[in-house]
Amino acid sequence: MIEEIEILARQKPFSQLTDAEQALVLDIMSGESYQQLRRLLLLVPTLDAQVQPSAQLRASLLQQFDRQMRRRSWLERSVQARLPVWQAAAALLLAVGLVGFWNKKAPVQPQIITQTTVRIDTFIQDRVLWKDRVVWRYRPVPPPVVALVPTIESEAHAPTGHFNDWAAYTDLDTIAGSSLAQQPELLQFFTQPNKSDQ
Amino acid sequence: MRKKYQIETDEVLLAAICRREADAFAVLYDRYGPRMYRYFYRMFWRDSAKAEDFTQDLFLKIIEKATLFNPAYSVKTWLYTIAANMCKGEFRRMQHAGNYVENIPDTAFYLLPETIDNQLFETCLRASIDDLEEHHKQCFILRYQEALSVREISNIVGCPEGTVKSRLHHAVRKVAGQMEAWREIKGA
Repeated sequence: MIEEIEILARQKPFSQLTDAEQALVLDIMSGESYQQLRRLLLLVPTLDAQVQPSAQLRASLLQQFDRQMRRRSWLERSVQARLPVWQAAAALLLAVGLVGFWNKKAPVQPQIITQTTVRIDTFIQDRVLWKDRVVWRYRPVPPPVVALVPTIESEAHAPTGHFNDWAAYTDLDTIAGSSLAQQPELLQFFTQPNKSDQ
Repeated sequence: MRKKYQIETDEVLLAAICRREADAFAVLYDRYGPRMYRYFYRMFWRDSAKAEDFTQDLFLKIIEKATLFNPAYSVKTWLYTIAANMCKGEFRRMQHAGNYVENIPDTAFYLLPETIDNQLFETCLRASIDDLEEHHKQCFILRYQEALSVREISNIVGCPEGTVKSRLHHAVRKVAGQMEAWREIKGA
């Protein structure tokens, strides 16, 4: 709305407005305010309109522009150069074609590759850290001392002190070293069930 | 070569600047240099040295960052956007430095001499524009002195069009009110 009034104010004074335009203006502001606005809008653009920057500023800026341009490397320029897509695609295709062409011409040389496999075996070594030594010691068991009551008959066969004589003299079956299988009473004794278990 | 560029659009010129063509840059400067200078001159309370420095900085930025131009916007909008951001940065710097208020000249309506002439009126008008708040002033200058559309201004300052219209309305009311006060004083 205000923009329309501004346009009107720039074009004509309040007295030259049509009835509809005056009604539009009077909805928002008085006729006097409109006239003030008109004067303001006409005068404001002309304020300081003749002010110009110095010519030195222009020369200095152009100089700086040139300096900046010289500072840029050819690489930067080539990176920023914008090629059309079709040109880039054509260049790529050409490059691929050339590579393919050269590859066809070159004879394929079979290359024998000697493969050397190095294997490292694992050796497992058992180390005896310690070892028990079982020593069997044999001890002769002395014959039990049997109360020998020499009888008259036996006196004739009295031992002479030799072991065989003793064995012959005593019942060696009852002496240590005899098998339990040969002594059924003894076997029964050992194999009888324990009374406390019953 | 330069003649060739004089009939080209801004976008073509910028593309040529990207290719580092000095003639394109010269034509772009001739087209927008004085405008941007005037914009800075008005924004910085008619400080010509500062306006020149800022114009130079602006065009140096164009040289360095021409490739960053977004074709979705027009070159004119892009230039004014950079300029507006530079002004914003400078105002912020001045506020931090504490000399923001000191730079604004007094409007001094009540000290105007009795004789009414155009020059005096212009002086008064300038003073009332200078007296505007930063964002109101920016919109006012872009709209009424640089003759940009509301849509362009909204793109430049990064605000919705409604906000720009509201700022323009406030700015015009304030300037017109000050001019009215001045007229009443003259009439008295």
